[in-house]
Amino acid sequence: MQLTLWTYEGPPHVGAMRIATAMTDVHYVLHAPQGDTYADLLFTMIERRNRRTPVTYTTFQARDLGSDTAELFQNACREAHERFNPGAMLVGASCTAELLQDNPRASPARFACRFP
Amino acid sequence: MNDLTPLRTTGARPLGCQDAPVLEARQDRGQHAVFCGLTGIIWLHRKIQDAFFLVIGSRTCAHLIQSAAGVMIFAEPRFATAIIEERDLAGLADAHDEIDRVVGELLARRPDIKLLFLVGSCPSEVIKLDLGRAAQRLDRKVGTGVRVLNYSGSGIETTFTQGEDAALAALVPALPAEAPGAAPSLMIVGALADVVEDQLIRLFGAMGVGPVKVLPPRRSTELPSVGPGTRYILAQPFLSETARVLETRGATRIAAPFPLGVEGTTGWLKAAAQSFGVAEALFDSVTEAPRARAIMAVARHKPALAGKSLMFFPDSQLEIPLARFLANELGMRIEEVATPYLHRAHLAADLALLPPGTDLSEGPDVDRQLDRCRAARPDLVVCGLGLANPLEAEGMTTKWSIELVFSPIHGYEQAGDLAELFARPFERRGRLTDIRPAPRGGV
Repeated sequence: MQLTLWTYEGPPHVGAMRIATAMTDVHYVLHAPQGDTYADLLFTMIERRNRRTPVTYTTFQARDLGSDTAELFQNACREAHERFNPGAMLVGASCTAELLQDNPRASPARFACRFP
Repeated sequence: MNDLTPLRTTGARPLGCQDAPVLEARQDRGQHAVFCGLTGIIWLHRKIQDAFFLVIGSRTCAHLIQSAAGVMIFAEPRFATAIIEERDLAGLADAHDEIDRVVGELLARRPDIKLLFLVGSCPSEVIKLDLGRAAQRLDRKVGTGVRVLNYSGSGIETTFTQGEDAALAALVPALPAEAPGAAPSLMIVGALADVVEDQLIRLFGAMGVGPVKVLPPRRSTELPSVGPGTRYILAQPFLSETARVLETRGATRIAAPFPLGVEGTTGWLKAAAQSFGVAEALFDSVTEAPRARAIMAVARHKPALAGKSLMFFPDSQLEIPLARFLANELGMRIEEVATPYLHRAHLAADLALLPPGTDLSEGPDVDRQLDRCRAARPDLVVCGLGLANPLEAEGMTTKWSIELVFSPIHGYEQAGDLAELFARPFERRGRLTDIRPAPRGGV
């Protein structure tokens, strides 16, 4: 454990968000607990972007942990694709989602055939 | 100004929204664009001036606290993160030894800390780190004398203001027991700006209600006592767990609307006054002047707001009392009130005062609510920072909901400021449309 009184260093998934927001027609689906959506404001407020960050979060909570969170992630991917119809999708996991070992990287392969 | 509008109570009024169905219940899946409970640290560390909040979490938690707090480092803040690293996860380091080491380091550096909260996070919950055990072990450890408590601020367990609920609930077992047979006392529960707290205490003092205690106190050395003589009144609508544990210690709740706006503040003060047997005439004479000031201050903003429609996105659980204020005192039309959680018992009085037929939603899916918002195009959208600028770009007028948490808005003296918070976006938009072409719709 490392005592951190202040830090400006963001976690890597915020870097991935930066890539998604910098491109057009790209949508990022992030497996992350409720609360991680705070990162949106780095783009909408600090950068004053005039559109929502192209990111869908699974925002899982305690009640989801008893069920299949991998399925939750796949549903989020499917719904994000239906709603935003991007040219390319990125997938990833935040710190906590990584601990669940749902392996988002395995999901696109499973879905690729269904996405036109 | 002498005729005090009688407080409309749930029982006396057949209308209102106390039994209203919700458009979307939180059982529905979907993305929730809300903060986690860690965010509460930002106002709690200011309120309890000798407390320190140590988050046991990830780099994301540290980043959230940093970016949400917008901390400029002029002084050492009273919060920090113990970042869980690979070696902790791989079992190479014993997590409890690590916590002891980090806490030791921290306390050596900050002798001013008298109360330390170990704050659980999403990762600490998922790896099932027992912070209760850690807090027990470290509490008043010889040589430090520091009180150590724990609560969870994780997004898995808590939404935004529920972090305060969890922190206050953790404080309750540490409160001293009141003396047996103690005279009735009033406890105001919920963090308020010091200035607001002082105003409310002065009003109670003038009515002869007291002794008045507050939770949380400004210093950990001033913890209020609790017991069967304690009647508590919630100042914030998001304290369900705190209320539950106060009742296990014998305290009883005074049911009231929340002290937002003239109607809410009068109802709130009156509920406490009635519980302490204050005569109507005394209540009227004490509240008359501040109530008159508040009515005038609110009325100034009515022309800008009356008849305008508004939609709340879920944020702090303050949405229902705020909607009640905006509908009843400013004549706004409520398109939809979304709240992260709907505690029907604690909000009974406010729900009863909401215009009948108001659409409520509990923890809605952000994308589906955005669909409703774009279809309804309300005159004002109260939403989080992730949505505000994008909606402005779509030509909508927005209010940042977070301001309602960080500004002093409770009580008579703040009622005018509260109304102004909602009037300002209209004024801003009015000025901006003078200098730029009308925004294009749709993004």
